[in-house]
Amino acid sequence: MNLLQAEKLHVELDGFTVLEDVSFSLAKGEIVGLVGPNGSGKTTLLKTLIGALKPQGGFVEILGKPARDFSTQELARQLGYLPQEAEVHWPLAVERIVALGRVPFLMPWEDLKNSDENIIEDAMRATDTLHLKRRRVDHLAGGEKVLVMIARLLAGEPKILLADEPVQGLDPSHALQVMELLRGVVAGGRGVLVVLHDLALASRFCDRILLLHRGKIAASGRPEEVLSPEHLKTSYHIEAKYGNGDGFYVVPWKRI
Amino acid sequence: MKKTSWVLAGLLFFVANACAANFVVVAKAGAGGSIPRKIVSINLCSDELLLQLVEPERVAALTKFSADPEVSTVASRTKGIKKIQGDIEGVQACGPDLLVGGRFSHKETLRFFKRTGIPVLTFGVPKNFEDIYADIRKLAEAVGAVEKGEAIVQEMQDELVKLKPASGIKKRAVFFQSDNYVPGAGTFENAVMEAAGLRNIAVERGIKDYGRMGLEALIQAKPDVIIFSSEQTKTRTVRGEVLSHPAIKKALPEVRTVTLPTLFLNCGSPASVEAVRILVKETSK
Amino acid sequence: MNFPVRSSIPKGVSPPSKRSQSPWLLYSVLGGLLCVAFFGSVSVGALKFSLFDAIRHPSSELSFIFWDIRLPRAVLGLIVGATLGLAGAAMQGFLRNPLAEPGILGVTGGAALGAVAVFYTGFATIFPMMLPVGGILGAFVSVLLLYLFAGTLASVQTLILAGVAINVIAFSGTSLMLNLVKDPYAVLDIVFWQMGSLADRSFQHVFLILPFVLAGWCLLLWDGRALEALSLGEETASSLGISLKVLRARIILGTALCVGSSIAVCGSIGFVGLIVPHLLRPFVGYRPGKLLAASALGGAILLLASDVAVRMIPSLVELKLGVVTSILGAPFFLLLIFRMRKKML
Repeated sequence: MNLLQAEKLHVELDGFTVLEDVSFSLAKGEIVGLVGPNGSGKTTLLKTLIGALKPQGGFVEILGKPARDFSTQELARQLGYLPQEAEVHWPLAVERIVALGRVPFLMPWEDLKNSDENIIEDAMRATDTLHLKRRRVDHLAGGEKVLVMIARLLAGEPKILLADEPVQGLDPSHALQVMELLRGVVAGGRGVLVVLHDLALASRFCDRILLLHRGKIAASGRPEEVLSPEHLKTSYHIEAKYGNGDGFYVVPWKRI
Repeated sequence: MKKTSWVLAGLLFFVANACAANFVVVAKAGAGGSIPRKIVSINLCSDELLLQLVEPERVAALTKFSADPEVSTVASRTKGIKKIQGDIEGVQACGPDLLVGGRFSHKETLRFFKRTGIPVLTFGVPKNFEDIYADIRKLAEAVGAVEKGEAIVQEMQDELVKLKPASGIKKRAVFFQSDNYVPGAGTFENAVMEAAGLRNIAVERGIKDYGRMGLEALIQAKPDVIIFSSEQTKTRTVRGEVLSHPAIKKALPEVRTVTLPTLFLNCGSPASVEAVRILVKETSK
Repeated sequence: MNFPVRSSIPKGVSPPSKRSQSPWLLYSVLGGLLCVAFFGSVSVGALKFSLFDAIRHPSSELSFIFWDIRLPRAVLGLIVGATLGLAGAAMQGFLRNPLAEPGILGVTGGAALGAVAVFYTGFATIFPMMLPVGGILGAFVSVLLLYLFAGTLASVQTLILAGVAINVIAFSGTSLMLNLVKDPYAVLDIVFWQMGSLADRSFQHVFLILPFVLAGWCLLLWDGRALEALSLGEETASSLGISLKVLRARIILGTALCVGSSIAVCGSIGFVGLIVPHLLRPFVGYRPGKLLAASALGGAILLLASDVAVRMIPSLVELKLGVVTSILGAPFFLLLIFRMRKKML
């Protein structure tokens, strides 16, 4: 059984068709990279999967059950979502932000239990942010902030993680740290769908890649298959150089 | 050149008119010897006094309020008399030979007619019964009904003497108004209270004119009588809510409350004696 | 990352670790202050007497003054103050904007208009409950309008402008209605509706609004966790299982219920919902959820203290309550705007 299954999704916004006939699956233990030019519908796809947008056609299945059969809270326990440019409106302490990952598991009147506190601590440890526990989130550097956001994501112990461009604006060290983190996460049987612009990272860390072009899936499969010269030419209008030392990788080279 | 001379003539005409208005002589009341037959009153209180003194045929116009029985004591006598707003044009249309008004309203109208030579009489707000007698006499002289005026004054004085209770222990009273206002020394309400043989607590506290008394002070003063104005207890206003505060009845269970019809307090007129009558009746029980 | 308000802690200074740790310390301090303020409120008045005397002699007039004049005034001050503080914190948490509060954004203005409409048309004499209901409906329409004008996460300017518009409409409507009342002196009541007052209120007023206020408080306090999740933005909150539609309905309804009914018996009192959450925010670690209960306590303290000031400042006419809160609040508001401008530049 796949963690997530999308069948023939059709999404329209303001009369424009943003996604058409999108089908794919996410299995246990895999990282799937969602790539495509700006405006191809990647963010829309993620929002549809978490239920923020209702598709005009098609359906989504989570753990074999249709997504609409889940209550909002049940869905929140299975799915974790990290939006692009994660905003924080109040200068909260890091540990409070990570603690928000436990919200789907608490009733409005309940307080955090010991088990919750442990999970939160583990999440911070996994993301190497435990030492930042008491710091205010607005006093953190960009890279640290993303790690805190991921810790929040992990604190919810979701089976499926959906991340929208988590490495945007990060230095190479932090970018790699984030991707390695995601790799570690799926080792435990979870699945990750991550939107990436950096094709080098995508080629290196993703098990499979979905190439979205103008709302349709242009290609889906292993990085070597999807990031082929023909696909890169049609979708991105670019040429790339390829490498294979220590694994397959792609480096965008020239516009054509 | 022709055009200029027309313009000059026009200017001259305009200037001449303006000057003429400033040189009109104001005739004194009764100077010609004839009594006014087209009297216009633009104030409710002067409406009331007027109708006590002259026949309705001699009244050219009254205020709109005069016909409202809720505020006017002479409403029944105003049938057939024209009612006007009090603005200059409305008064001019009546062709008055005497204009009567109050000092604090329609000032522009009164000022205008003062300059046109028509006799204009203005009345202030009476602070006691002596003021009312003076007002009646003043108006009576202007309308040529001096004897009638004296008769009315005499009647009022006799009534008040009759009503005044024999001297004994005076009951302590306070006239409680909206927004915690209480009339003190020098107010008409005070005159009414004293005429009814009551001692005004506000005066005891040294209040002159209208002062204020908090609810706590009211209770602590332990009045024998609390007087209310009927309009204030009837119409619902936030400032009037204090008049029905539950603490008053609770803390002063034996106080006598009297609600005087605002009608008799609006203006100083013979009808004001009614207010005294009601007070005496209610407080002597 | 967008924080509309810079904290007062300069960078480099050690983080507020102690403050955010024990909410119970904060609540005990606030609770203590509340007792002091409440005691102060029942002790101040034209008459100086000992409270023990009043309680020990149940049928003396001192007793009546205490139980029927001072006590309801203090209780009402507590209820209304808590309402305004709580509503301010809830609006700020929901709109994610520290300048939001029922007065500035027109909710109290609308409530006053609704209450005036019921009060002077005689409805309230026939069915006393109609008075708070009128205030609630007025507040409800205002919040709805606000939401329509500004939406959530509107810029500061849009929000404030929407509030200005609603306040203008409410004030004009109130003045118009008062002019239409038969009693020529009714227009003087506008001072009460615009500036608010707790003077000469009785337990009748307290019981009239109590069920509505409690219902409103429940709806607002329920939202603590949802507001915390909203710190991460609408999409993330939604993905954490928060139903934004339901949250919005609860905030709108809860605010309308408690603010609307409070204003109906006390007139417009502003700025409490602005000052209190802002002052207390650092003490709850900036958590919008924890801020709710703390702001309720803080609001009650502030209003009771203001009501004491109103009676102690010597003046010919007893100062209206809203004057005191405005004297405190308006400069505070300007200061906040000034700091925000500096930050934006």
